[in-house]
Amino acid sequence: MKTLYVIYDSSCGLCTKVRDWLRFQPSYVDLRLMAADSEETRRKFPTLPVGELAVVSGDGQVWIGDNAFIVCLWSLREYRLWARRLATPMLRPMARQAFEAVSRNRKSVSGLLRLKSEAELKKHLNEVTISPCALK
Amino acid sequence: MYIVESYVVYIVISLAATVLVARTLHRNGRVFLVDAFRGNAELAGSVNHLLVVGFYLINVGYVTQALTTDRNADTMRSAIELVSSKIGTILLVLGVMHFFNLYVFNRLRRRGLENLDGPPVPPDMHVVPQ
Repeated sequence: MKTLYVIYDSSCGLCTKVRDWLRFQPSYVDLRLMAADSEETRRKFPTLPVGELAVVSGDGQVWIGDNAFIVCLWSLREYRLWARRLATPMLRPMARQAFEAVSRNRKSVSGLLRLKSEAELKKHLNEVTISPCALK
Repeated sequence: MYIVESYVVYIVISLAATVLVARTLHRNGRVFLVDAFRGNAELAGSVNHLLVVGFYLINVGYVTQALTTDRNADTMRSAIELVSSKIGTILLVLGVMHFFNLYVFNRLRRRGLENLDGPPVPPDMHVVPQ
């Protein structure tokens, strides 16, 4: 497994923050982070369920939701051991509940922590007007 | 009366045993380590060498430390008993160190092989990559 595509929600501030964190973590595989509602994602993975975190491997295996989260951890050098622990029967249900609780409330958590999502940042940048260059 | 001879016999046999065990570990530990480091022979050789140096330091240190005795070696019999008991202790310590080294090699090997597995959860669905 050499490449993993991580499909995330770009309208969620928390997801954007985690994406930025993920980008700079040392990893075992090449992580490609793609917004769920981008053209590229729709073209590449038209059959993915909407509104869920998804991880897709180069050979077409897909993990959804909390499974996807565990695979993300597994791909990181410093968290692979944690991924294995969370996948054991003892911790699995707790990991699932924790992930689902955060995921369901991600908009409110983002608001509380004042995290700007990728979509919001894009919108903000588009609204900024830049005066034409003074040099003619 | 025989204390000096006893000391000499003890040192010679103990050091010989240390060298023999160290060489066994060095020669056979290599295979474990090359496997653990995924074929990286240079790294394996390096770690092997470092482990063996540590082994020598600890064991030669202990052998020389344990030499002194206040038991008497006045008769032939007591000299032989003294040497035998001291060598016995050294061999037991070498045995423990030997198994400890094997444990370390095995841990390194298992840690190296662990990362060949795939993700710990099965996939939820499959797609054909576009």
